[in-house]
Amino acid sequence: MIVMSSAPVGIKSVMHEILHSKSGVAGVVILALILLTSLTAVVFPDNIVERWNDPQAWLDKPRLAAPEWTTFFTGENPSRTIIVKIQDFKRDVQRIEQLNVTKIELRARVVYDYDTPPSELNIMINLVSEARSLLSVEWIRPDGSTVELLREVAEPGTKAVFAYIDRTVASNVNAYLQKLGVSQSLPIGVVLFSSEKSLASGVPKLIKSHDVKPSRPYELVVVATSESKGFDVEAQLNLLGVVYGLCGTDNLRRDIFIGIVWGAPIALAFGLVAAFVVTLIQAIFGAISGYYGSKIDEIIQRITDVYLVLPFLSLLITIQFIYKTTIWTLLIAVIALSLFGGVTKSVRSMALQVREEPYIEAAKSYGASKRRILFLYILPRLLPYTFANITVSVPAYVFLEASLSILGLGDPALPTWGKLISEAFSGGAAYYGYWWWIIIPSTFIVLVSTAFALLWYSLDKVLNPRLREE
Amino acid sequence: MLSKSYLAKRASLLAITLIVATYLTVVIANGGGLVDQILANQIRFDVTSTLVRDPSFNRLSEAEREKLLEQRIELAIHAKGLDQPFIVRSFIYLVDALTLRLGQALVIKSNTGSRAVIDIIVERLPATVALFTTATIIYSILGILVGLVMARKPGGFFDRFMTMLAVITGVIPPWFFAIIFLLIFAFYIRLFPFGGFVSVPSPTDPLLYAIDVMFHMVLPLITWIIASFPFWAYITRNIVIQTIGEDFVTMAKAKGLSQSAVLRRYVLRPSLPPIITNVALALIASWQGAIITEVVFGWPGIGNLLNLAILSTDAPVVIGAAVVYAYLLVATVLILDIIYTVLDPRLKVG
Repeated sequence: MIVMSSAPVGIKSVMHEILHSKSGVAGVVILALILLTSLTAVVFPDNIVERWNDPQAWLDKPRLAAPEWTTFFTGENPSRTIIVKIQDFKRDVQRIEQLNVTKIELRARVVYDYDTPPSELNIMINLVSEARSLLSVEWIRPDGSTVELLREVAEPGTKAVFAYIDRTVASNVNAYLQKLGVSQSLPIGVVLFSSEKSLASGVPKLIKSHDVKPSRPYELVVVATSESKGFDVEAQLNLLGVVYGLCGTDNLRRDIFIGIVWGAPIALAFGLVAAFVVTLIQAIFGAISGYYGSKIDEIIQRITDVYLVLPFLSLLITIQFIYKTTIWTLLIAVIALSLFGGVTKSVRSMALQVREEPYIEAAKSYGASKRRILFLYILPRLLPYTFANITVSVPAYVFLEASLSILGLGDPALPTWGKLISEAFSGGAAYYGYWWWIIIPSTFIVLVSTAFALLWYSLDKVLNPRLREE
Repeated sequence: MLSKSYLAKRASLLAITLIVATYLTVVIANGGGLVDQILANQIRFDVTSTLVRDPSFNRLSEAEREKLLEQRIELAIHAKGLDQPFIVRSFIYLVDALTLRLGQALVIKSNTGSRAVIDIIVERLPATVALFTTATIIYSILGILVGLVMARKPGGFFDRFMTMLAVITGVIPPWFFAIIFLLIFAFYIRLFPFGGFVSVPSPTDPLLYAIDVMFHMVLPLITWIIASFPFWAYITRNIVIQTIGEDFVTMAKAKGLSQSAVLRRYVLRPSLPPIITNVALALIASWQGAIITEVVFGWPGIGNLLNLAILSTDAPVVIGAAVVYAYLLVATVLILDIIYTVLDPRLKVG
């Protein structure tokens, strides 16, 4: 099975072997890159886990936007997200004494040079007032033409206008189209971002800021008038893009990149701890079984036989289904269900060989205790094999978490990689072709698996010299 | 004969495994008092359905009927021993689960309208077994063949390529390929359906129906085969390379036998038993992967049922499916053990 004389002993020599094979170096490099990526998690706010599950926190991101770098391949320049914040609006406060009213005009200017209209145009308005006020919202294109989006008596408080799906806006835009003599109904985004001339001619053409000389921005004008004391108004304009960030967004507008960056340490921690603890426990039982022999051996081997056929996943599913635990409690369940296994068997057979070696005999002769021989003389010899097994089982545990997530049994709060993929799947990403939502988290999970598989491969060649390439 | 005693030993071990697995399921499930509830519901169902069939019961007044019903239920619970401490009850549950008396589902119904969990599961079983067995047979044969080719030139390009593929697919579960393949073959190329068992509406002609089912099976099969055969090939290659180094193979070569005859008679035959032992473990993992693969493809087997039961929080079905999976796993290993005894000549001579 294993030619012990040529196997390395100790962590140092294991590392040496890994770093002296191409596949080992490749594995280490991939892992280092992923760890570096996950270090950027520090940049994001620390309450990300709460934010991740709060739909309100992501309103300034587009829904289901592809990654920005895709434009490099399509050659187009689709719209990016532009946010005009409260403080970026130009304010003009007018006091009309005769009527005893205050009129506040807010003006946002947006230089827009993309090939497509934004995926959404959302306006948040906050009216600070004791009474109702007259509110009007207008959209001015670079060619100087104006579309009236809203003119109404508004209640005080916050108001979110999702222009593309807002009913009042829709009826105002339709009225505007009729005035132009356009009978067909057009998407609101197309109407707002096409020149008036092209709309009237029946072939809408998008107008950019630089299409007119001198170039002019799009403008949003919010005018509110009220007689209330201390009247004030604030507004924010969200022009949401068609593409977003490095990894795109999901159906809840969440930045997938943040999910991946935060999922990396969770995935690695879960995988590494599970692999490390499970392999070590199994190896210790295997060594005990092989070294002590007789009755202990028989008992451990029979228990292992039972454990090997235990329906691991369906037991885990039952546990998660009934107790709905976090990922860390799940980890304990995983360990409890894998106390004995394949490693127990193979370590036992190796321990049987090592037991007969002269240095064990020598240790016995100068009176080393059984426990000392087991933990200090036998187990270290089996370390390289154990290490190889840890590397190959890390990905298995990373995928285990993903499997449970697919069944809706993942951690309820944490953004794990498995949850990203399972949400993509249940969100119909494969059916509607939101490839980035699936492919990008998948790529990371496969990269981690490949990295560990490469490490294992470089160790396996050392441990099984007979299989070495000529 | 040795093979018989070997099989008997393995079978009793598997029986113990089955009991342990089922008992664990029962104990875990009853942590939330779920099994108690399931059984109480079952008894209520049984008692009510016998009572309503009794004409004299129907002649009683509403209050009397209610009283009689409660009385009977209490008696039935006592008769079954369900008012005893948990440790005793757990063994009653164990026997129930092992004999597949799995209670009544809360939400899910079988196509025939039955609410019995066992009916619901049995209805789904053929789909799971059909997909799993077909896939296993195809990828095991393919794996062994490719493994033999790899062993012919160890270190060659094909060998290295397949080894790398085996290492990577060895850690990636099949459902993962399933999602990617759905995106490629169903969404972009539109070659295969997105999943399911037959088209809707299904063809009435039995032949067309069968063809339609097979068409829906292609993508799950391809997924499973691609995810699994490289690993078999890698195991086969390693064992075959070790066997080729044995003296009796050199001897056969020296006799001047053709390469294919040496490979078939002197290398493959003694290699098969260790291949099977190695692969038994992989097969267990494969059964578990089946759960998720079915979910991804909407294949109407037990895995999909389990997913449905989880979504609709139908506890009796979840627990029932866990028990049936234990049975399936144990049955698979037993079949492999039988094949093993047939193949290994050392186990035949008594």
